[in-house]
Amino acid sequence: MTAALSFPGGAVDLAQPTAPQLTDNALAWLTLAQQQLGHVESLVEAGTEQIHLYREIATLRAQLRRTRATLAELTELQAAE
Amino acid sequence: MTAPILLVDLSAEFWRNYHATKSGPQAYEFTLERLTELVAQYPRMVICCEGKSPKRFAWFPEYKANRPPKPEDAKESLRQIIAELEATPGIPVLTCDGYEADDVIATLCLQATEPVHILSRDKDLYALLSPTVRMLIDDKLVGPAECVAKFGVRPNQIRDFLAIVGDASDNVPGCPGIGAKGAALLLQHFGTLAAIKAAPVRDIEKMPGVGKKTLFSLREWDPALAVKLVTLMLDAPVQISELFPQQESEADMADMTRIQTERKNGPLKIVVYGPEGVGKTRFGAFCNKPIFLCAESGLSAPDLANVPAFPAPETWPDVLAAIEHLKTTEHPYRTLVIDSIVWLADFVRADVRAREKMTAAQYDDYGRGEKFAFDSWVKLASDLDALQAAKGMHVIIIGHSSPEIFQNPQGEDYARFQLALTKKAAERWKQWPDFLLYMSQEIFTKKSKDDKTHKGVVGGHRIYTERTAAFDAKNRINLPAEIEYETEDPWRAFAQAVRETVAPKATEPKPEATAAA
Repeated sequence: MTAALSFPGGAVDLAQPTAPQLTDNALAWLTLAQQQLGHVESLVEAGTEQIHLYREIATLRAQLRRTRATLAELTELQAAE
Repeated sequence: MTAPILLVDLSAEFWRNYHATKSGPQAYEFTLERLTELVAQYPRMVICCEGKSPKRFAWFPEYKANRPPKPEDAKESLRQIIAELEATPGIPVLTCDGYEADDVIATLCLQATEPVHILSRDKDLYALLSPTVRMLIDDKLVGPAECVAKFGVRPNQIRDFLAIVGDASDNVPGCPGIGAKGAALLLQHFGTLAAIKAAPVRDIEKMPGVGKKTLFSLREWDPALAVKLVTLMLDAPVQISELFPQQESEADMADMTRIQTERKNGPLKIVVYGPEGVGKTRFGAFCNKPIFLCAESGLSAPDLANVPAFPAPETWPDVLAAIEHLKTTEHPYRTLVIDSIVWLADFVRADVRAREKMTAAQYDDYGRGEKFAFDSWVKLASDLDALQAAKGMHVIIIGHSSPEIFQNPQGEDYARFQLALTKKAAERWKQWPDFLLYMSQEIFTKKSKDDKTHKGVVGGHRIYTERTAAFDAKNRINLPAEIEYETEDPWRAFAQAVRETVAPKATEPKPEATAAA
């Protein structure tokens, strides 16, 4: 599946990421999630208000979801190969 | 979308091409060609440019004074690229007065909660490298390991390294007599520039390759200016979450759009209503790239302060003009959230009264005003349909609920919750959407131990998707009748329920395929 982006000079088709790129992305997402987890823990220890914690947890959840989505893309790519 | 965000130092890329070709138009072509290649891999690209009067020039008038003046034709080509990129939807071009592109990139990296790649080869930017922030140099990704291999110091030591060595390209003076090797050795041993300055002479003397001359230079040298000039500023007035907002719910809405596309080829139409304080505004705020059309006080919760919204309309034509604006201009928004339809009803009433020159009593007389008002609602619905057709935007309309007595032909009359509008208008807005959702907090009664008294007990929050005796609701994809949600993010629970409802059906083999097998 390709999508087109409008760009000066015409539409650009999105490139399919390669397996090394997806692996790299998944690792980056996972690292961010790990960092965010540490951040959330430190906020909890500092007694941060619940509303702010929810936002940080939402970010963490999004990062984990992106990790999973990237791994799913990678698995799909490897299966196709 | 899982590809990292790409931050582009446009001037650096352009001038590199210019120095290679010595031609403005050719540099223009090469730069655009490179960006076109990259945007295919990085759909979320941010162009960072130098703003007017960078602060470093005020701190040190000799800053970059060693560079020859730039030719006018090349400057014009650069301006042309910037103008073209600015006109491209979905590609933010950032210029902050007082800040250089590096500072904008550094600020965005600090704010990012997702992987970032930087298109630049500027030494200053090595300070930002981490497992999640990498530089893209000659199609290779450069991370902290490459920084250590190249300079002999870690990214968090780069600032001190550059302060000691100086930056000839920016005309930043370093410590006289100490080169890259010496600076790396000192930083490897002492860790930071402050530690080097504070170290006893005998400790520095023990370092191999540090002669008396170096030692003397170090002691005499005041690093304050160099440190200030090579330190990346992290307070540029930019916000990465505004460039690509609601990244987490994008996947939700993407899934839902796919579902809808499979079924009826169209963006979503949702009307959600319920009592106060059940999270209706949050339902809209956490969907895909929303823009709110609401009263000034509509997004008052502190964590919703950054949700984009039109200036609060004051008349009915303002409301229609806002929708027209979304329909006819390029913008990054994917969902229009109207909060609330009840608030719009006041505008409709005022508009009809002014247009038809009616007093309040005449308006209410035998529902005379309502007949005209209905035309206004029909116009709004048709404008929203046109917006969806033109831009594929989802529309979420938020409403309040009010109890109405339902005349039951088969038994006793009973109260049920309706959209808080006149009957005719409520009927119109119940028919229009694909999803009519009733949000509420479950309330039930509990008997006391002696069985004599009943006590009201508040339960969890629910989104109801099917009509019951107590309220109207509907959906067209067989959602569960009740979806439990947390008030902080009702959208998530709804999107999850939609996915779970539709996903198994999407993978079911078609009857023909089964028969063929």
